[in-house]
Amino acid sequence: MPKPRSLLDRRLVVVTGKGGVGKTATACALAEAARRAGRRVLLVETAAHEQVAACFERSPRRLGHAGRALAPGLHALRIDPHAALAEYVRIQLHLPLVTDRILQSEILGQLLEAAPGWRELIVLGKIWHLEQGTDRKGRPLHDLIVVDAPATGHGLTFLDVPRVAQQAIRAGPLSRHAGWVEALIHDPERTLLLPVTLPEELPVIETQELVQRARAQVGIAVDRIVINQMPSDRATRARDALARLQAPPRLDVLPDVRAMTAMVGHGARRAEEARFFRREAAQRCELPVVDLPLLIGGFDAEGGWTEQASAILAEPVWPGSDDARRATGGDAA
Amino acid sequence: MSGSAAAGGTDLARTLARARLIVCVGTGGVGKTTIAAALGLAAARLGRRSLVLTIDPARRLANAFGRDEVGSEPVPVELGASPDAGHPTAPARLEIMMLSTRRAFDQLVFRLTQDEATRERILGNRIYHHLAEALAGSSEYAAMAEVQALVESARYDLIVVDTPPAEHALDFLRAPGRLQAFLDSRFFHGLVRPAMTASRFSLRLFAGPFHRVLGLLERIAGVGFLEDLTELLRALDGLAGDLASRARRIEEVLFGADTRFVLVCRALAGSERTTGEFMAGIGDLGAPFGAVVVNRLQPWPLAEDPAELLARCRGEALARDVERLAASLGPPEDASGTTRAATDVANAPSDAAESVVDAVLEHARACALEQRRVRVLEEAAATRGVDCIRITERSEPLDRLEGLEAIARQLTTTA
Repeated sequence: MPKPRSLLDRRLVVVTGKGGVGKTATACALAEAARRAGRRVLLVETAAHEQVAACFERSPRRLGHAGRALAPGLHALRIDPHAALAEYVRIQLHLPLVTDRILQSEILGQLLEAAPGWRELIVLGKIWHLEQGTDRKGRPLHDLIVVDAPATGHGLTFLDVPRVAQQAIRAGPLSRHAGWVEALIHDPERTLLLPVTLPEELPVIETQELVQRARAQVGIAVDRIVINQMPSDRATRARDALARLQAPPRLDVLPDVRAMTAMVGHGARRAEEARFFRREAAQRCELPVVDLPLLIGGFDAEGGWTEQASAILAEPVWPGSDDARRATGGDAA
Repeated sequence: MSGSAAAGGTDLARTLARARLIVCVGTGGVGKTTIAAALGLAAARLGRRSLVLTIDPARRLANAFGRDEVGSEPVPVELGASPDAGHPTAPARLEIMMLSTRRAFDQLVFRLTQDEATRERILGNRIYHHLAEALAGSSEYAAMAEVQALVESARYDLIVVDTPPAEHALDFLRAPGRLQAFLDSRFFHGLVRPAMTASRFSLRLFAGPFHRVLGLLERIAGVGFLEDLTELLRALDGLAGDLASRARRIEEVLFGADTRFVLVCRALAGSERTTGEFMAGIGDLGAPFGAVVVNRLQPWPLAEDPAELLARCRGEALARDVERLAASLGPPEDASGTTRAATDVANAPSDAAESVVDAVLEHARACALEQRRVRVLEEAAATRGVDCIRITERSEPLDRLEGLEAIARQLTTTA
């Protein structure tokens, strides 16, 4: 198995996963890590509600379609499909400003409200356009573009739209442009899909399905799985230590041994489950994994950055056979 | 909360005894399906014929009941005797099903079309073929239509709906209204009506704003696309009336007096914000709000608050305890014993004692944070006049059904 390239060697990394697995936090960690490594980074949000700024700022201000710098070397924006459509019509189709009136017409609004797929297509088109951007010297404007992909029931529908659109539309500039976008998605040199999961049973099964579809249907490169909220082995060590107690000591401030055993026992079982499902993820997806540590305080403007940013760039590993033992307790509720 | 303590059960317990429809909403990863399953189980234990219905394509619901798969037809769950002596002895009836949204709209078209030709025209349409799943929230609309039909079938006393884990999970509830708005729209009528009089699509038929919009579409997507689109809308026109009246009925059931929404969340970093947004969303929809369920809280085995413990465990007093703990530790287990997964066994007693204290205090910090977040959630629930119910993660391993029974008890009895 060839060693995966560094995430920093790509042009476009699309972070994906089901809702609740920490997709946005992972995208932010990668963007921050790349920025710290001296890359000029563009972090792209696609969800209707902005979340990225809240990861970096205590009182987040809106990013908007044009976006703004969140830190030196890190520009972030949220693509607004309607604004992107207006740009597309003006720039790509070279249509005159008269189109503004059409774009604002009630009739088109009603069509757009109901029409499927155009948002995804236009958002991807905008990402393609951003990837193409160069400065006066012809260098790319952004070294790395990190996309926080939409959390939908079907995680990959977003990336599959250009292919579907070409089949549905057949001809015309839109179909041709969809082809360009598809080519970017299919280019393993430039583009990588970064699936995020939790070390739990169902998220892992869903990730397996996602990776299979990514390979078979969408044709986007994927070379590792991010395991988010991976517990440390602290509780396991503590449980093993408590097992060595000869006689219960007299303690002044700590809880009694029975309570401490209950606390660390819960944590140890959780950690064992997590290690089991981390290994499952690697085996089912046939991919190595990268861990993001579980931070009890969460991951926001208050901290947690340094830990997460260095963890995301770690070389992917294949979980060892010592993680094979399935935990005995703690049903995934 | 809400005077429930006096009655000895939660408001949710009364909802389970009365409501016809419970809709579980919440973001992904909060254990919504587990809560939906436990609610269905609790209602079944009250003697109500219950159905738990999931729209989630993942196998969470099947999993919750220890099955491999759930089909698109309801199947009964083997429940056995109630573990709780207080429940009626009549056999509990609980069924589960998964709503397949994949071809749900196809089925709807099939049901609503009278003649073969229309059906063929719609199902064979190129645009429909590729985009039916996304068509104006078609799958969500079809799912809601199915729920409404099941509620009105009187086959069940209570239906618990587990909604898809989406960032904007409430969106699908707006699908019937959106579809209705589209069918009533000028676009639909403007494009469909003239096209019906023409044997072949022609831009010349349209005047003014229509001409401009269609001109733009033709520039972007080509005339073939417009032909396909018009053809599809023409075929759908025959269904428009049925779909629109159906959409109204769905909304009546979904937001009716016999329905309650249950918001499932966790107490993680940021949960207060996302949960607040959900509560506002439920309010905006005018949906009847039933309860907030805070799921998967970590167990805290002490009577005192974790914050109190943390305040106490510091400085020299803590250092003395660590020494005493270290002094009572024996040698580490021999390596030939049980394999200790991915553990660096800290051999020195002082290191081992430190690791115990680290883990205990980390657990206390995590629980203190959770409790603080739960208090915020409780206040938010109280301002909306609903219960906030805490579900604690079990420490002991449990059989799946046993685990559901335990959650069902927590949902219906006050702590």
